[in-house]
Amino acid sequence: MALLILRRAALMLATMLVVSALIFLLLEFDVDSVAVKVLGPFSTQEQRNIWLEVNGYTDPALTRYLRWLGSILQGDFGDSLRFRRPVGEVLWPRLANTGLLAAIVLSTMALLGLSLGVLAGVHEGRLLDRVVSVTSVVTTSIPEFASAVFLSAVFVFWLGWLPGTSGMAAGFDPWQLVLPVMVLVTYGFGYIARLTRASMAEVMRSNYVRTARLKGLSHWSVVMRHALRNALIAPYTVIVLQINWLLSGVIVVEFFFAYKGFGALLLEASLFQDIYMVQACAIIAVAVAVISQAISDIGYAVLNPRIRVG
Amino acid sequence: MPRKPFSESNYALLRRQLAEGKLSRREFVRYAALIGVSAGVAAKTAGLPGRARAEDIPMGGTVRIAMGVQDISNPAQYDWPQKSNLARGVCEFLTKTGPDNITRPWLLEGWEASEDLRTWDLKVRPGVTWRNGRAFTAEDVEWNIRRLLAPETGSSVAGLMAGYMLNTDDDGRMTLWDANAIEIVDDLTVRLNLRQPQIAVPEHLYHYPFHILDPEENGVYGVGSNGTGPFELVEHSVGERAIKRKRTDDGYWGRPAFLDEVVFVDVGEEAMAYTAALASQQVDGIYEGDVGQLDTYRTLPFLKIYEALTGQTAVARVKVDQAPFDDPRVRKAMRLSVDTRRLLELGHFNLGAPGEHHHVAPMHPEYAELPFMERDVEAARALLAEAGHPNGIDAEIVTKRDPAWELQTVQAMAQQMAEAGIRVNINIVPTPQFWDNWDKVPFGFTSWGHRPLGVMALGLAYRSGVPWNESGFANARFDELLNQAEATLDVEERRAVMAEIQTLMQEEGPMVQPLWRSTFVAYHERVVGFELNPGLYIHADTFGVRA
Amino acid sequence: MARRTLLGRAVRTIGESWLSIIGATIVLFWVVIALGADILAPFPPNATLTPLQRPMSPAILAPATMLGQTPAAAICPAVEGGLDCGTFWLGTDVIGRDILSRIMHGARTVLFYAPLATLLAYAFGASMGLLAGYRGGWVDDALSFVSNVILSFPVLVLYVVIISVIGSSGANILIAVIFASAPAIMRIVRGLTMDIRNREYVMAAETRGEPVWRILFVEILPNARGPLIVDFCVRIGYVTITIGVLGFLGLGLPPPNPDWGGMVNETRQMAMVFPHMALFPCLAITSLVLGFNLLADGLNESALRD
Repeated sequence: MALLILRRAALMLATMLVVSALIFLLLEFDVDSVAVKVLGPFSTQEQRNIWLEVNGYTDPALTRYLRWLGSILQGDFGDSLRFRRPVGEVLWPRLANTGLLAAIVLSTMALLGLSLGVLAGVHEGRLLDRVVSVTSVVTTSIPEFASAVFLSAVFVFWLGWLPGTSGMAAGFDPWQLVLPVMVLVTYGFGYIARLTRASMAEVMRSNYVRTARLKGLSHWSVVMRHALRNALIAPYTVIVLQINWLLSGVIVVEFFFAYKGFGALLLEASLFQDIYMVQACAIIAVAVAVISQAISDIGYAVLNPRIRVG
Repeated sequence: MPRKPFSESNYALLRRQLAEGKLSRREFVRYAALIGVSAGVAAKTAGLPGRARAEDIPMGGTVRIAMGVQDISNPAQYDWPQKSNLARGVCEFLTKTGPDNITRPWLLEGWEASEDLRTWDLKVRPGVTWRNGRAFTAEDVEWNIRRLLAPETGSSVAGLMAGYMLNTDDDGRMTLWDANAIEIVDDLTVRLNLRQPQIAVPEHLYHYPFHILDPEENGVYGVGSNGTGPFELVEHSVGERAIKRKRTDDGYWGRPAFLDEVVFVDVGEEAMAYTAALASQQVDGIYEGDVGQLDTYRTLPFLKIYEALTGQTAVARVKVDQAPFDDPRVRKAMRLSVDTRRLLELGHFNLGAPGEHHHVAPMHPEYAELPFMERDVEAARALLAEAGHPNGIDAEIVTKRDPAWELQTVQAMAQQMAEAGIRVNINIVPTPQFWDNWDKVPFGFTSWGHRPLGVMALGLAYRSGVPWNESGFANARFDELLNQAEATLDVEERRAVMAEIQTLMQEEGPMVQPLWRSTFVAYHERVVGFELNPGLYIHADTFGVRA
Repeated sequence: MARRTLLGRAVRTIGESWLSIIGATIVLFWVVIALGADILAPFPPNATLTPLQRPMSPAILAPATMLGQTPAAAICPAVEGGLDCGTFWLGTDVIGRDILSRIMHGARTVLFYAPLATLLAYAFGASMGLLAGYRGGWVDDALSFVSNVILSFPVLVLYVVIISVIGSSGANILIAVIFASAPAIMRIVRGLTMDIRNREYVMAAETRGEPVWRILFVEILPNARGPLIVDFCVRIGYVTITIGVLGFLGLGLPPPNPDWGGMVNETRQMAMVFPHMALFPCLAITSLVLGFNLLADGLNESALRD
């Protein structure tokens, strides 16, 4: 197990290193535009050149990359061109907001997906199974933007039950989280439900469950004690991997509901070409994804000792 | 030259024109105000009702307004009313153009223009103090004007005033035309000596980068900045929110604000979030409504909708030094290929006025009515052929997605142009990136804000060499005519000059102008005393909120 | 001959599951619409007609309104108030374009870009996967590492960053989709290849001395097709959604040619008052994705049964 964790850590490190180089290359391509952003559109080429030189942009790319990497490791992402403040100051609170949103979405989604999946899997082939299966296929086919538009049309404008934006401008308000969570859960739970259903159905058909039944154990105790644990291995890894998917999903939802989170920040930073912010966001997003991937792999190995992840 | 409270002979001329019906009452009040007659006196002469004072505006309370909260540290380079709305009421202006489009003195007590309109004495209002207690003087005014005109400041004020305050040297640098162009006469008087006559000086003093800043703060604005206004900026975080709070001391020179606090909430780039925030009463008002959402506002019973016909527009402009647009015939063909009445219908729900391709709005006092430039596809084709493009031209217009009416208009325009053989591809860039390159692309669709006078818009956008001249239009005849218009007080003479300018724009100008638009905002009905300024300036000291 | 049996097998496989039948019907429906858009659509997709018409409203057009290159007068009889050109079945949008015609032409856009992008991603990803799985060793290590690196980006993060750097156009969307999807495909194909490469017929081919490309594409790939076809259907659905999302975020295909995500983007602001303008494109995209997903489900089900 220690070896496995060590290998994962080494792989993570290597991945992050390459990712950071990629991000750096992609975004520092056009250094001149950085100067324009900082000095304003009315600056002269001469002023820009001086600024670039003073700030070390005339050094070779490798030198700049290493310097950039060094400062990131010390937690310094540079100053945001749009906010005119250190990137970290803006980024960390936004990330915490998204963390909150993601935690609620993930737990709701897992609860809903797992329970529906288990119910359907246990009753394979019956009406309940059909209903769950069809519902989950249909909901995963509705893009988030479509459900966002229509859920807000219904709940904000027609019924007037829910707040329409989630900026939390006047302090924290749990009601403002309802619509974003609803949209993300609608799109995401079906995948977990389908996977759990398939996994559950497979376990229910397996020999040891059959044996347990033959021993005369009641239906539900077989389900709870024998089937569930084995059936949850596959969905578990998927749920952890949903973190990666959520980092994508929050972009649309945060943009639409004006939630002050990480996804909206990344989108706005990209549109504004606030390159230090984009770099920081991309690095953070990848770090979160890589860590959750590692957790999922290690957890999988713990849950299922027969498999060793290579 | 003996000086009188206002220039009597000019005033007499205006009165005569009013009597003879050459001047509308509104125009009369404007020009009278221009030469220093108080708007109240002039309104009485013209028989207009004075502005009603809202006595029933309650004191106290908070109003929340949805508006983009941007970086505001450099007021001299403000390019959006949103930015200036966060400094408005903290750092005031020398003059103020009201919702009625008439400019009145503000930090000035008044102004006096010489007969030849070349010497302007700006009378500083006595008794005004900065929030830190220091008296507001002519020196503060002089420092601000001088700074805004300096080339290294990079302010659009330079473009506005270039015609009468600046000279362009051989390297293309603009400097004050005379060392004594700005003089301090005494503690409360600043004199502007103009290179050539100009009537719109007071309007120019209300251009949004013209916030009067404390010289000690060296041109930087932010939370806690010193100012002369009734508010103080107490919080500002880009992309989130900003708060202006009523001054706690009683040192403000004018009528204190009704509201305790104005909160500006940034709801992001998504236009629908503005409406959603209004619908769920998370904000009490919005900076600017989208015309496409007007029907949605109407479905919300607690909202009051404010509308104003403005000098706001957007133009499809070309770079006049790039082929094929370097040929004036091509540019005219582009204008002839569109039907602006139809564009108004498709792009802006018929709310506004059709464009006439010269950037002078019917609401502008100096507007000269020309025969409407009708669509003529055959003539457009003929002109293109004459210019050597018998098979038409291909072009790519750069535009952005927000606000929605712009893209609608561009698409409708491209459809119409295609029928005349001008095949336009639409290149959409993200809004923030658009403004990085708006004045560099060969063909782009640029929105322009409201200006109280037509000559102001023309001076900002089409005078040779000014910072916001996005088309590179450099036409000596145009510059000469514009200078002449700015120097002519007599309305008829001035209209004649304007007619010539407008015709020149239609014949050779660098742009196609689809429409003039009405703007809208919606506020909760409990907000009282709100008036929509056509420039979208939010004067937070003029309205209040019922509990 | 071989082709016919393959096609026959495919039809039979689909016929085995009612899910696949529904899925295939939906997809086929849109394919027919996309191919026949020129004939089926009542109006040219970009023609600006009467703005803000609700569904089922009569299309009475002013004579001045042009229908693309054909003057309306040539095809529509004159009635009081203008020319009667039929009905706006799904209404018109803000600038008066017929929504039905735009959805039909939009199907063409979506069914061009989504399959093309997925196919190109497959061409790229599958080749890499075959190579990695067959060769193993350092080739496998290197390719797997690269795919891991790209896969560690959340998908939309990658799209947003790529599109905002290289700009939004049809070709750039293709590039972004290929870049983002190829690694996942590579991973699947690699796994399948490692499984197949030890089979007898591959060994036999190796003994015969066949070139590597032949072994990869003729011996291995066709035998891995089952799971790949399922994945292809799911993936095409994802790509369809992605193109929609990019359109919705304003990073999609440039107007005026219709794509469904862009249609929602342009009209969603008015969804409170004129819901039809955003509703129909949303339904279109949902139904197409649903079609692909059902097809994939059904194929998967029959594959499990085999």
